Amino acid sequence: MELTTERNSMLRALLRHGGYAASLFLGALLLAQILFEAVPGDAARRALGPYASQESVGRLREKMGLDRPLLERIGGNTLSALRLDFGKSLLDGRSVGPEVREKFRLTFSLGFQAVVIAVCFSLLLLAVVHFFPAASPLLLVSRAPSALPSFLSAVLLALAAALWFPGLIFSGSGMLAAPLLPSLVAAIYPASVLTTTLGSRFSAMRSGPHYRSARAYGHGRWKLFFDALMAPSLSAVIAVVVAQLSLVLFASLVIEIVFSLPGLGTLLLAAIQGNDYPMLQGILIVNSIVFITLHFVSETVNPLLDPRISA
Amino acid sequence: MTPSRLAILACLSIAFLVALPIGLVWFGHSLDPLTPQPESALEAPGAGQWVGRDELGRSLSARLLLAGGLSLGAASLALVLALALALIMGGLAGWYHGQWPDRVISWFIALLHTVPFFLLVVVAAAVWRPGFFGAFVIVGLCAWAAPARLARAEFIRLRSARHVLAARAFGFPATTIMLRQTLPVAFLPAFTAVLLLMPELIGLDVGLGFFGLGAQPPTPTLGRLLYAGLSRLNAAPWLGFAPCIMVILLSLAAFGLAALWSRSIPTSSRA
Repeated sequence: MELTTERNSMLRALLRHGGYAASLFLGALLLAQILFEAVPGDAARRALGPYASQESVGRLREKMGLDRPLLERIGGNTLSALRLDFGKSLLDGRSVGPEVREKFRLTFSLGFQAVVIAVCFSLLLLAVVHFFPAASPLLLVSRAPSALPSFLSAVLLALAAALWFPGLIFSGSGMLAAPLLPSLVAAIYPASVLTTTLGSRFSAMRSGPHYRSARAYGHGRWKLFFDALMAPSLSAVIAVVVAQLSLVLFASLVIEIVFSLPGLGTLLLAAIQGNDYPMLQGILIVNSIVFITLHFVSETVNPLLDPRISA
Repeated sequence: MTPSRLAILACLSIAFLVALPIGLVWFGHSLDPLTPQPESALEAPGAGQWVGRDELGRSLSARLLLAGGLSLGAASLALVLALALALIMGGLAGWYHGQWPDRVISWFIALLHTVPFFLLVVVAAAVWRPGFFGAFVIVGLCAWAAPARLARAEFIRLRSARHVLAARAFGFPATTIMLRQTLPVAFLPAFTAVLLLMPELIGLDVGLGFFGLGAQPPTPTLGRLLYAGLSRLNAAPWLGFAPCIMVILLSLAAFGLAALWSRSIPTSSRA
């Protein structure tokens, strides 16, 4: 009976979070539509430049649907976006959806690797400090990158590598263009934020009754670290990681440009330079969908990991 | 927090957010950052020019000071805008907690919180091409969500505080209570949260520079200088390192200021 009630309340929470995520998804679609509807002047003229003929501007207006009434256009574009159909690129006529999805794979793997590296590094450092308290100054050092812009590390590394290993970095080939090093660079900022947050949390937990009781029971250091510190902090790890995702994405985009990687960063740069509005819209919407989904997963999983968080 | 400490921190903040950008722009302008001297192009740092000259022979120190002032000024503009929006929206949501204004504003906060903030700014700047300061107005319009959550939480906490209940019992109108009793208390956590965003706001100029947005030549900003410096790394590494060091210095100063404010606010209100 109790189990059924608990299952029902979990199902209700899941539906509530799902409904909220769906409303945010629709909101993001509308936001993207409004952003592009509010282009000052004629969007087709802006895309083609001041020297384009009136006929080609007219053709592009028709292709972009600018000759249709506003509400019909927004409704139609929103429905198309729901099917992940963002039209064709203004630069070369490629379909935007498949192009963005393909490039997104690299950016996602770069960001995902960065997050995994950041979590591993952070937990390893905290474990080292837990077993060897004399190493606690390392925590202070690891805080430094969180005081700087998230992608500055990428720029600094690019500068250093260009001086010490000329020819390796901007060529788009060789060791430094492999995805692992950019991921390491992208991991510096989230690792610093995670270490700082978890470090303060662990330090507060060490003086709490839960940890002191575990010590009084005579648990060893491993058990104390994993059971009394790490396990109750898993939800905090997820919350911090999700909160840092926007910065990780932006750092990844800049790092892709610095390291000449063919991901969303370079696609975004080309779309900005060519006033390719459908491509820009596709990039924004696809990333928004992924972010909203990740937030939804985090909101659903966190109460399961930590019952103190209400679903 | 003692009144003297509050006064010192307020003076430091005004100096950092207002006086320092103005001073840097004025000092940078006085050193002639725009006149090219082709015969001295890519001159290495030395006694006369302590950070060297750029590819057109312009004084990099003068351009660096001017760029630092402009970037810091634009970031300060975004900060003020984000703070004002955070206090208004977060305050209204917190005051009307559980009612429709709270639900609507909280939905907007959640939307801005989940949509990737930096990508939104870059795409908006790419579509509207609003210029350097205009781009930072967009930043301010997008960056208010996180501090608004804090302001909302503070307003919810303060709604049932004794001094607010007393003011209600005395019959003061809601606007007066919000402005005089709750806003001054909710201000500090929101301000500290926005100040913690400052390094990212300064860095955002660099990010916009990488995408060819923001300031356009010949106006020097840290982003543009860094982007230009990266393309000439092998010939003139100082062109890349100097703006990097400037970004680090400004970011550390902003972070230090935020840390000072953070220590001064009550534990119950901390971010």
